[in-house]
Amino acid sequence: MINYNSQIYKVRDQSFEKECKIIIDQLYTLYLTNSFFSYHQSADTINRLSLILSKNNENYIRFYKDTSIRFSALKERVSWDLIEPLTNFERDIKMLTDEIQDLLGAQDYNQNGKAKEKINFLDNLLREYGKKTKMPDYLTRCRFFNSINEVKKIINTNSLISYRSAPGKLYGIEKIISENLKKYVKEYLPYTKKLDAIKASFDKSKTYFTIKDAKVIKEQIDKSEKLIYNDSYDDITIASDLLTEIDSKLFNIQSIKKTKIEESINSQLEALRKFIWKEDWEDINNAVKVMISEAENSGQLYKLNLDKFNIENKKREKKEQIFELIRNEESKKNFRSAEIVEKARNLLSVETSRKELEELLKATSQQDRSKEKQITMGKRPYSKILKYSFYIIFLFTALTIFIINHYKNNEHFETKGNRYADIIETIVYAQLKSSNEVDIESIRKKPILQNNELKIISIDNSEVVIEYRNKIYKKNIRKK
Amino acid sequence: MILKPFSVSMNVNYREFISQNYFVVLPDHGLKRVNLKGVNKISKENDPDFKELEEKDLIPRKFDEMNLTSELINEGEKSYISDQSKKRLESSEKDKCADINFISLGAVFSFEMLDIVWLNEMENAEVHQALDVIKDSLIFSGKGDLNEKFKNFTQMYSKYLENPSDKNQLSNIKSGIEECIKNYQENPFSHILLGMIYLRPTIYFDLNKAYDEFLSAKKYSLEIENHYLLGCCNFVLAWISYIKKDTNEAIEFSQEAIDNEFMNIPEIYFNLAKFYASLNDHENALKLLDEVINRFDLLYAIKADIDNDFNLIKGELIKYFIRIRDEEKSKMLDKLNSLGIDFTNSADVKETETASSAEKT
Repeated sequence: MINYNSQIYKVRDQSFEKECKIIIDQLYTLYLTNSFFSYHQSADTINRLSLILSKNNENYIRFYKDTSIRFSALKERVSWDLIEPLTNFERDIKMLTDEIQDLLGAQDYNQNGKAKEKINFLDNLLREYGKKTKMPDYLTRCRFFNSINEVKKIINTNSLISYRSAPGKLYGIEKIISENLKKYVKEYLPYTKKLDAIKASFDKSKTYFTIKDAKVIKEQIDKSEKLIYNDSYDDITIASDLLTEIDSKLFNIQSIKKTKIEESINSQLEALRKFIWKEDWEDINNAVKVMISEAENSGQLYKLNLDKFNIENKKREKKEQIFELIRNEESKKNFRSAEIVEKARNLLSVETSRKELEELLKATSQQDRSKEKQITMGKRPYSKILKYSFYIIFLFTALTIFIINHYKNNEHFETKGNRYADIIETIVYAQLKSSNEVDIESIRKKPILQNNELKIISIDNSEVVIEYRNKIYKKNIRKK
Repeated sequence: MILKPFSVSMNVNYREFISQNYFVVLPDHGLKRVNLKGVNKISKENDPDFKELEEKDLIPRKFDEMNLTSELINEGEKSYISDQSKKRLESSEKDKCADINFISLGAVFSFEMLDIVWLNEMENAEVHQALDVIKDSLIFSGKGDLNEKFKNFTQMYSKYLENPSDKNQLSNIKSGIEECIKNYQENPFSHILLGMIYLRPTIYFDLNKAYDEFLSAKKYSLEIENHYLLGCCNFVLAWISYIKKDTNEAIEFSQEAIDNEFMNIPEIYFNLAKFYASLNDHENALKLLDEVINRFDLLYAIKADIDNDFNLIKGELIKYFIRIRDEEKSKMLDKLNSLGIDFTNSADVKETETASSAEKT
C-alpha cells in the first residue's frame, strides 16, 4: 500500500484527503501493473499528488495551524473554568469559544478559516472588557474569575454553611479589585497617557526628523502601543522602558530642532528691526520669548514661527506712514521740507520708533504754523513800508558787501598772482641752478600751475612775467 | 467536633449514654475525646458491673457521620466544619494554651465536658471575685485552712480529669469536698464540685444528689450575689431537670439562667431552644435557636439538625434553615452586585432554588 508521510503532509480537509486517496489508488494500480509504461505514467500522477499536497500544506498552515495557535494563545487569557452561573462576559466567551472550537474541529479548511473572524471577536471582547472594567491584565482577570468561581461553588452548594463562608471569598474578590485598581491607576493609565502624548508630539513634529529617524520612532511607538494594549501589566513594564527611550529620542531631536528654530527666529527678528516700528518689534520680541518658553514646556515646536504676527502688514504700516509724511512735505515746497523729507527717508532704513515720526510730524506742523504766521502778517496795512524799507536795507547791505568783497577779492587775487610769480621764479631758479637752462614747457605742466586764469607770458634768465586774472605780475630771478 | 446532645426522646439511659463518652484534660489544658478502648477502660474502673462496649453498641453522636439537611450543609462541607470545631478543643499554635470555656467552645460544648470547662471557667474574673469573697469569709470565721483544702481538692480533681480511671483519687476528692461542706456549707464552689462528681458516670452517679448540690450552690451563690455562678447553677439544674423529664422546670431554670447570665454561656440558649422543641413549641425553639446562632455560633444550627428534640419540629426547622440561607444568599448576591458582578441567570437560579427547596420541605 502506498501512503504519504503524515508527519510532513497533514491532510485535515476531507476534500483534499479524498482527492489524495484517488491519486494514491491510481498510483497503486500503476505500481501493480509493473510495466515500463505504468511507471512512466506514474511520474505525472506523482506530480499531481505533490501539487495537491503542497496546496494542502499551504491551506493547513493558513487556515488551521495559524488559527489554532492564535486560539490557544487566546484561551490562555481565559484560563479559568467557565462554571455556572455565568456572568455576561463569561457567557459571551463561552459562546465564542464553543463556536471557534466547532469551526476548528471541522475537517474543512474553509470552516477552519472562518474561525479567524470569531477569534478576532473574542480578542476584541477580552480587550473591551479589560477597558470597561479597568482590568487590562489577563492574569488579574484570571485571578478575579477564579475567585468568582469560589463564590459560584457556594451558590451551587446552596447551603447555609456555604453562604456563611462567603464573606471571606467576597473579601478576596474585593482585594483583587482594589489591588488591580491601584495598579491600573499607577501602572496603566500613566503609560496610555504618555503614549498619547508621545504620539501627538511625534505627529506634530514629524517634519523635524529624517525619514529614517521618523520610521524608527514610528516603529517604536507602534511596538509600545501594542505592548500597552496587550492585556498584560507585565508588557506595560516593557513598554514603559520603550516609551522612555522614544521620549528621550524625541526630546533630543526636538531640542536640536528647537535651537535651530530659535536661532532662525531670532535672526529673522533681528533683520526685522529696521523694517517695522520699534514698538512693534519689541512686542514681537517679547511674544517670541514667551513662545520659546512655551515650546520648551510643551515640546511642540510647530508653533515656533513668526506667522501669527502679521509681519508684512507691520512693514507696510511703517513704510506707508513715512511715505505719507514725505508726500505731504514734498507738496509744501518750502526750504525746511527738504530737510524733513531727508530725515523721513532716513527713518526707513534704521530702527525707529513711532515717537520719532511723531516728532517729525510735530516739526512739520510748527513750520506750517510759522509760514501761516508770515502770510497773515503780509496782509497787514503797513506791510508795504516795511517791505520797501527791507529792500533798501537789503540793497545797501548787498552793495556794501559787494564792495567789500570786491576789494577783498582784488587783494586776494593779487596775493595769489604774486604767489604764482614766486612759485615760477623758484622753479626757474632751481632749473638754472641745476642745468643753466630754463624749460618753460615742463614749468607749464606743473600741477600746481594748472589754472585757466594763469598765463606764463615770458621767462628768461633775469625775469619772470605772468598774467593772472588780467593783471601782469613780474618777478626778478635771484642770482646764482 | 459537634456531638449529638442527649435527648430524653432517645429512650436511652443517661448514665449509659455518658459512659460512652469521656473527655480528658491534656497537659496544655486542651480537651481530648477518649476512644473506644479508653472508654472501656475508664468505665470498667469506675463501674465493676460495666460490660465492655463494642463499636456497634456506641450511640452515633458525631455530626459528620449523620445525614444533615442539605439546605444547611453540604456533604463536602462537613470536613471543613469538622476541622473548625476540632480546633476549638486544641491549644492554639501561637499561645500553646487552649482556651476552653463556654464561649470559645460554642456548639462544640457537650455536657460531658462540664467539669473540665468549669475548672477553666474558675479562672475568669467573676468567678475569682466569688472565690475571694468565700476566702475572706473563711478567714473571717477562722476557717482559713478550709479554703486551702478546697483549693487542694480542686487541683486534685483537675489532675483526676487527666486520668478519670483513677477511682481512688475520685473517692478521696469526694470525701474531702464533703468534709469541706460539712465544716462550711456556705461555699457554693464545694457544692458545685460535689454536684459535678455526682454527674460523672461512676459509682457516685446520682442525678438527685447532683440536683441538690447545685440547688445548694445556687442558694449560696445568691447569698454572695454572684450572677455568673447563679447562671451556671441554673444552667446545670435545667439540664438535670430535663434529664429527669421535668422539661417545664428545665425551661424555668434556663430562663432564670438567661436572666442571670446572658453573655458567657451560649449553651443555655441552645438548651432552652431544645427544651421547647421537645415540647413541640417550634416558635420559641426557633426564636432561641436563631438567637444562639446569630449571637454566638453558627454551628448551633448543625447541633440542632442532629438533635432528637429538634427532630420533632424538623419541618419548621428546615423552613428556618431555608429562610436564613436565602437571607445569606441574598446578602452575598447584593455584595457581588455592588462589586459589578452579575450572573446571567442569577435571579432565575435564586427563584428556582428557593422554590425547589420549599417543595422539598
